[in-house]
Amino acid sequence: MVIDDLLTHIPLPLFVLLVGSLLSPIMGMLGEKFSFRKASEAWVLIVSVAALIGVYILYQQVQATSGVAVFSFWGQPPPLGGSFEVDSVGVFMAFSIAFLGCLVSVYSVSYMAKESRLTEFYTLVALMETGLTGVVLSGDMLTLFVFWELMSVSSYVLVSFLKGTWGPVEAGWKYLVMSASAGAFLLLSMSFIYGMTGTLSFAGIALAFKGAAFTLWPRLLFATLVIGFGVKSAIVPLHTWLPDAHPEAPSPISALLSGIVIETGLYALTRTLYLVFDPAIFQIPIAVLAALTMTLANVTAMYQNDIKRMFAYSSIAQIGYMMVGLAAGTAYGIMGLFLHIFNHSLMKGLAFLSTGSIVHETGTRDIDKLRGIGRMMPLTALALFVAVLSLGGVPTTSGFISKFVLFNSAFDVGLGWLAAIALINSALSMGYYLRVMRNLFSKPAEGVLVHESPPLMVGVTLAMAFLIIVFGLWPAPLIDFATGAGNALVQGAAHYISAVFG
Amino acid sequence: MNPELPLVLASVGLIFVVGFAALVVKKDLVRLLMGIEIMFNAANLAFIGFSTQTAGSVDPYGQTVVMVTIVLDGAVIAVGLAMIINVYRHYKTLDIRKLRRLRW
Amino acid sequence: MMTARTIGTLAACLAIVGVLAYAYFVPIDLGLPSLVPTLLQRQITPLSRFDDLPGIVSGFLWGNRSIDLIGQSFVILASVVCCLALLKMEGESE
Repeated sequence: MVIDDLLTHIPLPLFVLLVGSLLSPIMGMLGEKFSFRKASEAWVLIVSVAALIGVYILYQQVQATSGVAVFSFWGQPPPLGGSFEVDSVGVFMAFSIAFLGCLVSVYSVSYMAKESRLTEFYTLVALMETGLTGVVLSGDMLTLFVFWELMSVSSYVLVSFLKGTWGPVEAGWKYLVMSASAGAFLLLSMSFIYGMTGTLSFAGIALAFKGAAFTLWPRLLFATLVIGFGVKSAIVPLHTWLPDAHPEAPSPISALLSGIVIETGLYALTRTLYLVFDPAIFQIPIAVLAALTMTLANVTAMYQNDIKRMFAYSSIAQIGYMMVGLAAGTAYGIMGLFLHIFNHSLMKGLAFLSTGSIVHETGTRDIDKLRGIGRMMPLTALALFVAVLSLGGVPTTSGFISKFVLFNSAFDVGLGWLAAIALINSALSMGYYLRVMRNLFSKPAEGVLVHESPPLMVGVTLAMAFLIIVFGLWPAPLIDFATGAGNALVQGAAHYISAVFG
Repeated sequence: MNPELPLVLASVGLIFVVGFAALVVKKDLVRLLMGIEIMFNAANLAFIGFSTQTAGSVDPYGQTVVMVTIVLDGAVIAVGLAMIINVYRHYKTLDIRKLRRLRW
Repeated sequence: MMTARTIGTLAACLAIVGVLAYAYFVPIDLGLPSLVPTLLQRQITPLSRFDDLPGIVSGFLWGNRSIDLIGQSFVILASVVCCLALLKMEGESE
């Protein structure tokens, strides 16, 4: 009874993650006291799996209330009170977050086994996952901002976690300065929304801005919103922190950052733009930004010698592809965007995790020095090969399907030039991916002997590669899920508003 | 409509520009954090200005937002200062122009 | 004495004072669209000089915004754990 009453007031995955991350430092301390060595790892694994189960229960709840479930505290209803308003989009994003969080937690048990301060590491991973889940489930802009800052603060320190060398320290500092100033821009945009409408709740904003004219203040609002959310989702020209931060972070954290944190920034931008503006208004600016992002990232990636930096630039290019779907503005385009979010979390997560296995064994990130390593670590190189094929969009992998949907949706609305640029970029990206693979499988230099990685890391990477191929050959459940999400965002505005205002 | 609202919004704009200029121009790491803090406070002032829009009354919603965001910004600045300590341990200087080793 | 730096500083101060004086004395129509939705409940309370504004605001905060207060306490927890992770010296040679 108590659980049922609790479940109607707070979404279950968020509750599980909040309690889990609160108890995580205590579990770490108890583990050290009773010399149970893997205490904090075990606790975070339990919390991640529980969050995944919680997402399933949340999905049932959303189905039961015919599309939108509103959660608010006892006696504090929206629009005055803070709320979590969950529709299919929120469930989809929460599922991606929980899934990648589980996989990365399992991987990092083996990767970070020899580091110090592990209790703090796992607590921060749990807190970052809490912040991510709170951002995608929130129904109010202040709640979104609170969980946004929670996610950001945890990720600043996770990037500069291995503070023994100068690289992570400098990268973490640059990331902090750029992301904190973006938070100030986001707060300014929230103040404009509050000044114009008197509310910060999503349903109230949607009701207020329906059919409003695009005069000076909405233009200012659009600019500050794009800057505020754009730094976190790595839109060019606000992307300059990413090629420094993602390589220098420990590999499981790179996988989480590239795989889901920048996509959550793009989700927040998408949601807010759909609430406030008509899709015809922001089509051209977003299309121009998408073309700029893809082209600059792909061209710069070709000159990189550091394997993780190359994958970081590739992440920026994939965000450009997702913005093509956002610029299209139809339900089909948004379906492609969410499908690509899930696929990219698997693909880029797999790429960074297998690169992490290689770096863990050889100790270097330079592509020229990694010549021939693929022959000595065959399973890891096979997983990396599957990830690279999927990133380039080769058929029978899941990356092909989501890219096809995205480029197709751009043709539908008359943005043919954007689809052409995207196709050229996709072909260009295969060039630098295959260069890495050719280097890995060529003849090794003299006297280099590397073992295969620990079995846990290999197991996780092979499982993800298997999932990519499975979803490439049988994408039907994912496409249904993403179509529901796309329809809920684009056409479900009336339902969204009536769930709060009755 | 409160007759002093244009003054408040003009000062919000000026403070935001001053904070952004501090972020772009200054070379000392601590001054960059001060610039970020100034920008956050400009946004908080905008909230308070908009909460006193109707003359003679106040809307407490805007002021509660400010009470929450002051705490959030304090947490960010605390983490930033701890990171400055780490940067100093490695680079032995607090000059942003020396942090250029990660290029291209 | 009149370096470029002093001239620049004086000009900036004059510009700031000028903009603020213009905003105060000249009645400007801001053009701020008022898009308040009709279904919205707002708690605009009329205020006179010595009313208990801190009491009103805290009452609103605790009565309507408990989720954000809990979230903010988690951000404080996160910053404490962050500072511990950044400043602990275990396992380092120095």
